[in-house]
Amino acid sequence: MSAPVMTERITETSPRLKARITGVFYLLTILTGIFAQGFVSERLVVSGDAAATAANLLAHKGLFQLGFAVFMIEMACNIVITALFYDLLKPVSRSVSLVAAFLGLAGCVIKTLSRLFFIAPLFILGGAHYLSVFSAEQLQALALLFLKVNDRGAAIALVFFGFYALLTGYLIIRSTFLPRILGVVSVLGGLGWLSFLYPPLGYRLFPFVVALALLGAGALIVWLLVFGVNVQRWKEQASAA
Amino acid sequence: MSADGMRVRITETSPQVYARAGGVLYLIVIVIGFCSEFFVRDKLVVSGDVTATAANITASESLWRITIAGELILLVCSVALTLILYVLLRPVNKNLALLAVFFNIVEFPIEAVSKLCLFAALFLSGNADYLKAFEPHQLHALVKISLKLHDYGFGMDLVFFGFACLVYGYLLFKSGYFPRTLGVLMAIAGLSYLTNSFTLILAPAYAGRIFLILVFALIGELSLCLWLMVKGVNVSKWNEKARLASG
Repeated sequence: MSAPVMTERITETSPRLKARITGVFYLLTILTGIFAQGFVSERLVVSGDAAATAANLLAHKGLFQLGFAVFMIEMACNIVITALFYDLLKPVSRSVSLVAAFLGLAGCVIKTLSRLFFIAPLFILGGAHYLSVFSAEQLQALALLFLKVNDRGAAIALVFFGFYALLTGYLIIRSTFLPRILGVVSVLGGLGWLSFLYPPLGYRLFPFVVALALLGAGALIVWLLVFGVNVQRWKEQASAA
Repeated sequence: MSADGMRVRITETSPQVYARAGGVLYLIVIVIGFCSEFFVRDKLVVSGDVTATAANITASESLWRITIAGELILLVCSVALTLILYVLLRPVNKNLALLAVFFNIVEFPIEAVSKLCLFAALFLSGNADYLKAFEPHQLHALVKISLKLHDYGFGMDLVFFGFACLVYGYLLFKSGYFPRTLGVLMAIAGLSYLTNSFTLILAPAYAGRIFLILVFALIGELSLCLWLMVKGVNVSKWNEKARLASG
């Protein structure tokens, strides 16, 4: 190894610090996701009842807008962890890590786009003059339709995140610097998300899959925050690659 | 450095070529973006009058279509520009340069897909037979909804572009081969994009007024564009940093 390489290695952010930063952004992604989905979307949207949904949205307009803003922050954090995991797991297999990152980014694109149909109901129900050509029931139906499109779009994204979790789990299992069990949980969570390949199955299994995925994510986050990665072994695998 | 490494270095395209090409592409992006927003859409879309808007869109169908085509070309140029900025800024910090690419990779498809709403607005403004099932006023309202969806899609993708600009700002500032001022200006551009987008999301009533903040985005991006075209990059400092980064 030549001298410049040595100095570069030293000045570069240490893998442990990178792992911790990954943990922080992963935690942010999960928390923002839980807030926007669990505390805003699930609470305000009454599936099958357009009138009640519309009433909720108008009564809690600020909360709904905040939910959307938090969805955007969630996606920005998701992109950050995609970049960080790519770098962290690159020593195991550069090409698999790159494929995982691309799948993750595709998921981010689809999920963000579907959020366009999450915010649309607000201006459809906003009472602007040009909308008076539709009856209140028609507008409420349009609003619920858009919310359903948002929901289905996010479900499509879950399939991509499922493949992402599968590959990430595989890389963790093959790595020497993270515990195998974290990879196994990630693979199981990924398989769970793949149930959305057939959405009726996905929606039925959703509570179990979410529990499994949150468990896996929680374990990985705690590990990354507390232990980071085994720096010695990370460097060995990186130089062997 | 091995003999192979040497040969690669020598045959590789000079960063100066990348910088100039980046400047030209950036100019195309800025000009198309500015013209389509201010010379076409701003003229055809009459705020508060959906009927006049629909009539304008139908009357200027080819202009409307050319603008959409132009904006797709803008995106193609942006993809190439993203690669160029990655190559130019990689020596500063490889991971952050990659992060900026990732932000853009997510941003571009959202922007491209949101153009679909502009096509929807065009179809709904027309008088095809199958649309007769709706009243003209209802169709005009749907035109307005399509245009709003486009605006929100644009606002959403600018969130990611805003973050990308912040990363670019940091990398330019730390580079040593670009002036620090450029970094500051790009960071301000990023902040103004983020302010604009989050105002649209959280307080849409103020979105019309806050829109002017994007003048800072124009200043930052135009400065980077012109610097790349006219001054390019300090090649000896770039080479030094690149050698350090890759070993």
